[in-house]
Amino acid sequence: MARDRRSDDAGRAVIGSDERDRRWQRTEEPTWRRALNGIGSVVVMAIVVVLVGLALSWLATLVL
Amino acid sequence: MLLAPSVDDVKAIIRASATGVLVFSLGIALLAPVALVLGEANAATALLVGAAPAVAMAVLGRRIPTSSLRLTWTRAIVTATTTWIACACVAAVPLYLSGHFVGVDAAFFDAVSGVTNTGHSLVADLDHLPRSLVLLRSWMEVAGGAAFLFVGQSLLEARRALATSLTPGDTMGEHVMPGTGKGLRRTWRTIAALGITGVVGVGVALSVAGVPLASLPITTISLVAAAATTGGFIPNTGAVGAYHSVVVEFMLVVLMLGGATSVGVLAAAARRQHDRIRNDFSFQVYVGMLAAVLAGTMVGLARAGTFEAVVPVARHGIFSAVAAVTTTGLSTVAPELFISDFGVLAPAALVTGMAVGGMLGSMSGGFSTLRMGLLAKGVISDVRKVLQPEGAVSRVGWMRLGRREVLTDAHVRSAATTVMLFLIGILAGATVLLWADGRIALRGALLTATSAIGNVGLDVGVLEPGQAWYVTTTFTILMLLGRLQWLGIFAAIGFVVAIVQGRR
Repeated sequence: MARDRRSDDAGRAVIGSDERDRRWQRTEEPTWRRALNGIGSVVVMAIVVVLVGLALSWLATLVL
Repeated sequence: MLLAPSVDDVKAIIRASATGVLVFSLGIALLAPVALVLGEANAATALLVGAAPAVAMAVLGRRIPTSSLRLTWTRAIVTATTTWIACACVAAVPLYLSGHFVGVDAAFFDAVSGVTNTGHSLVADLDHLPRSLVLLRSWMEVAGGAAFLFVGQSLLEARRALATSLTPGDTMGEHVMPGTGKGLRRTWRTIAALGITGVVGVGVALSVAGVPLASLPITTISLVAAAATTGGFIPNTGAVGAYHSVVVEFMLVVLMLGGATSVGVLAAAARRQHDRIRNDFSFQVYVGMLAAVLAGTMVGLARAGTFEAVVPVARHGIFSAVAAVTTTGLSTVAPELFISDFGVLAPAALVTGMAVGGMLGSMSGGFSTLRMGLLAKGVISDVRKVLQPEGAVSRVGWMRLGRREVLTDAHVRSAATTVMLFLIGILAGATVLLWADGRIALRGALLTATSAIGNVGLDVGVLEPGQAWYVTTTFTILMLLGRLQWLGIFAAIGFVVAIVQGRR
């Protein structure tokens, strides 16, 4: 049986924080999911830029 | 004292450059059958005439025996410079043979503009450029962008550049390229993710906007390549606004932002390490610059009264600001309007965004947000030193993707040198333009020079077919200097001088 990656040479479980476990699990995401995460972040950034731009243009037109 | 490079140095550089030229030329050769399918026999011949000798020479170059295939810092920098120039020479041949350029210098200008992801063009009768040559421009943008990412990733991976400059530091003698392969993997993943997203998103948006099915594939490819690689070349004189589609413009904004975001940040986003991205100093400056340029553009447009309603101000302002900061150079209006109708403040904000550019480690140009931030940190550090008691030690740092870096004088000096060289380049370019044509306004000259050296490609009607040879030559050099970050060109010149004058 393949040894658990989170155990030491003697097979004892390596005690780590929950945060480290979560990070370990994150890296195991499939490639397509990671690509979606990356592209999704850029799309969110673009939406934020558009919303901020709309607010700024509304303010600028109102004030000037 | 200069040490003459060894024969092995020269062999290794030729061999490594030949690899880059081979990949690039094979891409051009593959466009020849596409041209035949499109019924463009003349363009097919021109593509083959350009690519075939280059492929043959590159194959021969790759057979040169060397003791090591690994590139040290000097070899890597000189290889990058020679590869870029050699690829531009190869691409210039089919462009010149197309008959759409006034002279060889104009064709070489366009080739350099393509491989440096600038987007300026001196093509005559742009709207009737053969479709296969439009694809050639797109290929030049993709290849140039991918190569820029790969070189940048390799240097960063060597952990010597400190993401600030091409300062070799303690790397002399150690190999920096090709690295462990991580940089290459990240490069192709970024290109693939942006490319697939762009082709699907922009393709659907264009078809909804009413672009005919026959021209949809090539229009989609050229727009995606222009936005995602920050290349900024599109095959029509009517700018992006010609498509009259907010969805197309939004998709291009997504691609432009992706192309100007560093590969490291994109990789962290893919792993959902949002805390690292939020703390990343370069990203913070990037977001700050976007906000500042957006605000300046909106206020400028509102003040100039260019548009009366809020929505047109927002639509054109957002697109222009993003295109400037990401150094894409696309526009929703005829670029001449930037000078004639946009007032003073909006173009000033856009020029500032173009000069600073996107993030280091992305495909964008400019002197980068990190250098801008480091200069600001340098000022803060100096002020602290003045205010603190004598002898007190002050440490200023910044975060780079979860790792804390300490600001040193070398960082500030390196950033200041690059910024200063950029400013000198802008002044030199503007002076040449004003000398060549007395009718050009100073604002237009400064904007065009910034656009060239920042690899932006926003043409406000200043660089046109039929320019004097010294104008095209100056701007060709500026585009190369901008892309190779000056020191790359200096290192290549120093290498040649060392061959001639160096001590053996």
